Amino acid sequence: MDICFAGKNYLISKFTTKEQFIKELKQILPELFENDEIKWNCSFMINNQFYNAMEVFDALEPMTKKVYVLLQLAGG
Amino acid sequence: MEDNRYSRQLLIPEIRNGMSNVQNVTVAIVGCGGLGSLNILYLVALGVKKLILIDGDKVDTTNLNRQIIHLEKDIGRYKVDSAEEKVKEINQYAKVKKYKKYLDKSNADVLLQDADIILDCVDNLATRYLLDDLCSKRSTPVFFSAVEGFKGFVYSRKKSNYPPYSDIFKPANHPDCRQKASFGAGVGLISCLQCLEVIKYLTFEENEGPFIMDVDMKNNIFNIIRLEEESAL
Repeated sequence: MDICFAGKNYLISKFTTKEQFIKELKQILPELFENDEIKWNCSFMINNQFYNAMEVFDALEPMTKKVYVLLQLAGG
Repeated sequence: MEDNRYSRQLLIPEIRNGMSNVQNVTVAIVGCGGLGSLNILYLVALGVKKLILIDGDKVDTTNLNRQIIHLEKDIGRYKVDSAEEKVKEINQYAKVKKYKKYLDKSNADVLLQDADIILDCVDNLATRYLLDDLCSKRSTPVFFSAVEGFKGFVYSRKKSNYPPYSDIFKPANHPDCRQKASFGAGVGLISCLQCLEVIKYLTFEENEGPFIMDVDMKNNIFNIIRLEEESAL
């Protein structure tokens, strides 16, 4: 499964457990984490549907091939 | 002067064909700071003649590194006054409606009632969600942008069946207390990308479908994430 963040693709294990998903995500993209939790301003796109950090794991399926990650920005 | 003003851009077929749209549209720019600065300047230079400027803030020294529509002499002035002055210096015939107040639920409908398109140039999420909601209800095209450090984001909701911003980033029950870092060239690049989307919307006969532009300026990556239009109900 590919995790795509800021235009780069990172390979992550196929859908396994929530703990494994978070562990791998943290290894490849530590900047998405704060105090061991996924940052509140992360958004995940799977098959054109968006999910926040609380929802993303339930949205993953064995068929999921790609997950896009976006960080919500607010400066100007 | 008017005869020659647009001669160079009229060599571009899309702009030549869309020039009447440019000159007749009313553009609301919510936030006259970093992101608003270049949008205002470039849209007026392009030929936009009717602007609605909304910002309750005054210019201070911390703005000068990126809010290039404002100069040292403008410190202490309302940003909309300072911006209007520069607009008139570029095109004396441009008409500006300015509001020295922040957009909120109580005034959004009235302040934006004449806007054909709306640019989100704010630096807070509450106002962004307010604009998203208002534009959904009114089917008004809205152009979002944001920047922090070397990261930037542009999303143009040109049609009502494009996903709303609140689908992409679900409102979080979390106070956004971060101090947002920004510098001039970074803010300038993102605001130019936002402005280009407005220009394409006004001048291109066909618009490409919805997409998010996720920009990593540190590594020169422009990541385009294509979205699907929602089916008509």
